Amino acid sequence: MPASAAAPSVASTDRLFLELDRVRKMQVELSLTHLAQAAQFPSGVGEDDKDDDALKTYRRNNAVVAEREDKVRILVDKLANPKAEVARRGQALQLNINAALGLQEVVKSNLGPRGTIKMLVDGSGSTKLTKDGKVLLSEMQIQNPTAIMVARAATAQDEITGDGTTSNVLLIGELLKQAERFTSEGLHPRVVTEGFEIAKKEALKFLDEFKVARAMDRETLLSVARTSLRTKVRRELADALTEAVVDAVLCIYVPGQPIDLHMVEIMKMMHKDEMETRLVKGLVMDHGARHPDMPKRLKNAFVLTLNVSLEYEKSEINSGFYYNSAEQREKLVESERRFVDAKIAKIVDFKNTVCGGTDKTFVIINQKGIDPLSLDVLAKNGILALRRAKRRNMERLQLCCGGVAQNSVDDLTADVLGSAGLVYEHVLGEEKFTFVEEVANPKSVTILITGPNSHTISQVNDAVRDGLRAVKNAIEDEHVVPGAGAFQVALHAHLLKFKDTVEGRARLGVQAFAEAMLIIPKVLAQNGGFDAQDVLVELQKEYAHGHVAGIDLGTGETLDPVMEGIWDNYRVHRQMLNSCAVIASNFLLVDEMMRAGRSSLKQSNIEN
Amino acid sequence: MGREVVTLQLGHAASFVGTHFWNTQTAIMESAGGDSSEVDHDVLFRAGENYKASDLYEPSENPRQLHAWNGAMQVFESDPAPSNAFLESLNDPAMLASPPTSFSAQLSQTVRVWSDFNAPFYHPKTIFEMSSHTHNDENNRFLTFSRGREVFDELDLINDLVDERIRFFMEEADSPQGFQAIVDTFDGFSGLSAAVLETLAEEYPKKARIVFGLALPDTGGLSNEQQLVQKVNRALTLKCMSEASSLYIPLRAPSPSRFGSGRWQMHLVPQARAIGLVTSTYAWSGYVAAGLDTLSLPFRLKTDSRLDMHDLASLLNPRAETKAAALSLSLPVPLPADRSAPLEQVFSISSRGRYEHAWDLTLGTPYDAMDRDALASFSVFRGVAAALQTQELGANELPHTQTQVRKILAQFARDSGPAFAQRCSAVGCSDLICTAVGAYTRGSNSVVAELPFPVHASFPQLFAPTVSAGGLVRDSVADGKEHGAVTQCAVHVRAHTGPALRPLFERAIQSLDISPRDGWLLTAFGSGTRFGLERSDFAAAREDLETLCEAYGGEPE
Repeated sequence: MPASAAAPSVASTDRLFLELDRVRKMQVELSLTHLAQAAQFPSGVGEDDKDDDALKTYRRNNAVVAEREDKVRILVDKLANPKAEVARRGQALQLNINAALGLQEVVKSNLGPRGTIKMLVDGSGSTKLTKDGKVLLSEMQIQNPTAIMVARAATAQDEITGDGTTSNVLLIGELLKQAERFTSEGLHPRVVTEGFEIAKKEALKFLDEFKVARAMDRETLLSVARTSLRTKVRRELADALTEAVVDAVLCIYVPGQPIDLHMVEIMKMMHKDEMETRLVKGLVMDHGARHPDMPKRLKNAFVLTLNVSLEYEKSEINSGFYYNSAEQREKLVESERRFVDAKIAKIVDFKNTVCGGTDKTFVIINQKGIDPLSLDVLAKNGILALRRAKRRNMERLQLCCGGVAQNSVDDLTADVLGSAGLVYEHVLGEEKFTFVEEVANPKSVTILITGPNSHTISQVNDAVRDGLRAVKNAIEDEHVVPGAGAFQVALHAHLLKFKDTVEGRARLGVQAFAEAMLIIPKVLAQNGGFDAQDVLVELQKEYAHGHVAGIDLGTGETLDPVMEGIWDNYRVHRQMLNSCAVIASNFLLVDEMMRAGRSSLKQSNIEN
Repeated sequence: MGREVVTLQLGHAASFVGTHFWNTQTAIMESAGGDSSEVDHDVLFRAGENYKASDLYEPSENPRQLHAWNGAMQVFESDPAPSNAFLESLNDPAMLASPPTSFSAQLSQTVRVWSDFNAPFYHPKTIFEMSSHTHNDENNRFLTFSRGREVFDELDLINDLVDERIRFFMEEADSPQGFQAIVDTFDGFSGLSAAVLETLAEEYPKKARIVFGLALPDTGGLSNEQQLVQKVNRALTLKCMSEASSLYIPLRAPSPSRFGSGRWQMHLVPQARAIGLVTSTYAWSGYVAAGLDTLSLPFRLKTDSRLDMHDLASLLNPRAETKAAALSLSLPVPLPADRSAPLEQVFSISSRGRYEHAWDLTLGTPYDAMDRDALASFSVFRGVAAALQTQELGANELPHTQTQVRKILAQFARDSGPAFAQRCSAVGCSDLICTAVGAYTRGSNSVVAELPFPVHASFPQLFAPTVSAGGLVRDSVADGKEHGAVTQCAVHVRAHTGPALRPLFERAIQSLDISPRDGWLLTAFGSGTRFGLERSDFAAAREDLETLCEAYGGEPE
């Protein structure tokens, strides 16, 4: 204990508080620089010497700061509370809060349609441009254990609902920040978490009142998809993707049944630009016929899905035969060959039976191999044959064109055939694609993503994935929530009113929760280039007048999200309220951090 | 018609061995001027066209996984100067054109990841980077079999790797022979490889799957705990591969301490240098790759000696219950530089029935045991005649003829095989072996290839100063004479299976017997998690291994 702690005067207490404030700022700065570094070279941390140094410096500085803070805190706490244990608790909490705030700072700028994007560079030098919170958090290598927990909670949010990761991080950080205002004044964190719990329940109740039941027609779904997509990619691209995403889900949606998004195949083509991304009501496969004489474009085609090997293969190994001369070997090959030829003959016969005398054509899509000799026979008979189709495409094909996949070529009948209006091959340099289109009633469709380079494609891919989820959620929820920050503003006002009905100190927790909600509209406004307070005041005024009000990011004025068609998913908000309250409460209750676990395996160096 | 082989490299060490393997392929192609009469490159390579519109072979057929990239990236970043002369020379044809050079000395100092010494170009679908782990990341190690299986599931590799990439190359192949997989068996890649091979066995049941399992040479730097974990991983791999592969060959380079004695290492670098050289993954992976390349040579031959992967697998598994085999390697085959020295002496079996010029990569013995009770044996000789061509002839000496050489090799191959095969050959099938017209007999077989092992510029110069550039062994080196890089040499490998493999299984069984003292191992192997292993799983694996072990014959020790 430093000697100066003996009898601090009033003036020195003030100085101490100042000092504490300064230390805290240093801490935030430190975590920020470190997080920023981690974000800059996401996979670099850990191995590179330079970065290792950074890490060491960070740890050292952190230790220095922590020590200093500890001393100051002990002094401060001496005044109010002579128990030094509180200082320890305060420090653990402080570390958690700083980490959460640090992460918040990193992703803050990416929220909303006007958010900026981040560039992720991985170890091999490949880059990724994204503003999708989920992508950011899962690809960024984060070192701070607390930040990792926040990131995990947020990515879990994405896995459950497909959206709301960035908001989740912001909310967790903000809840902790608001809570700290009270805990630093001596309120026990337990009380705050109790308040959070009450507030969360009330918020969920309020969400159920606030949500809007809509008929999930195409128009509404377009709005939902647009709202989600515009936060992921730039405006024009989002608008181009919107229709594809909505129509894809509508195609595979069977009322009364859960939607299986696996039935929307995503096919990537490095070609043209991302604006060409479109919905193909059918299937696109990344391979083509392997015979030059096979037809490249067929109309009115029967599609036969097969899982039958049409190549010469040795019978199961270990058959134990040995041949003694080259002729003997040839003979064996020949007899094996005859099996394959017989299968091919059956298929050709079948084709002639079903197509004979009509203008129908014939396509085979086989999950197993087809060797050149077999391809040759098929080509001579005008059959387009694809080999080694992806396993998951086999199921899709049946949903797409109808028909039943066959495991044998014996007893083929016309009812196992699917059909497609158009089957054609598209060649891009060395790559071939086969389109199966114009199918009658597709229960499986493909979104064809095009783009000039791989990072654009993966950006579009992430966006499409989220868009699909948003549409699916809306259909399944049957309700939507007005977006553009409107819900948070309304919830804030509601909770402040509700607070007065809460007994005891827990109401402070409710208040903190309410205040924390405002981070979303604030950041939205900031990212739009407006003054957060101005916008917020406007919004609250508008809401007080009884209107549902969101931010117009074009003008900074208020708008009516219902009129503008800005809809969020109900379940996204629901999940977000739930998880942010839980994780923030967990952090608040941490009173000590310590290293644990068996270290021998971790520290081992396998290379030496 | 193609007889394509899809190569898989799973793991960090596997990528090293694989890179040496691909570099060797490049060397074979270069030495033959792009069109060899003996080796069919289309088996391993897919033809592509580069932008200069000339033909370029892209060794595409090897989706590989690795998590080693980060190291490389940082090397380049912190040191923008060219990281090594070898990579430089690749961009500068003039440098390569100048007569034989080797970058071995520099490379053994600088190589950190496989791409540091990689020569060929790969198809974009070839390399697959695992996103869940970073090589040598201390906080998130990829150490156990269980974790490997978990990652296979987590990363949806059945779609991303098997359905997306491996299928892509299989689709392209007209009549694929199967897969050759080089896998790490000591860390998490063991479990991942098991999962990959099991999936392949299900998807392509009729394709051959030859698996080479790599273990780290014992360099003494591992803690007991690490050794235990590695042993368990290896044992579990042995069990899984005995089911999912069609031929499984565990490989482990000799540890530096073994370089002190034995005839097998007489023509390799002396011990003092070996310590430094052989501990580096770069060097030992080259040694292993030479063996692997030679054994797989018959799959790629155009001549009548060619042998499909299928056939090799069934030759070495005559009773359909012994999928594991051992591989001994003789690098270089010590052919005398002196014409007058009799060749038979090189290919002679010691009084204890051993061949002393070989190291057994699987069993770790400094000789090839030439077990009389073996179930099957398969030898590949490459470039013996070609290396002998470089002999300097005296006044009245004639070079060895092909027939002479073949005869000696055939005799040797027969002698090295199991006893019953020798009896059989005595009745008259011996010619079949020596003419090698695609005829195979029970028990003992051999393939003689003309092409020597080309020592690529990136290959570690593991050779002693007594080895000439052409791969012959001199009695002594003239003092003060700078000895040049070895550019080619003859190599002999012999794969064999039988009772000699028992110790392999017995050791595996032993390492799966987890004493209560080592209870932490259960935690390490994820007991209680979805892919974790419980005590009962270890017991079951032990039982399976015991059953497997019985199939190899012989008596328990």
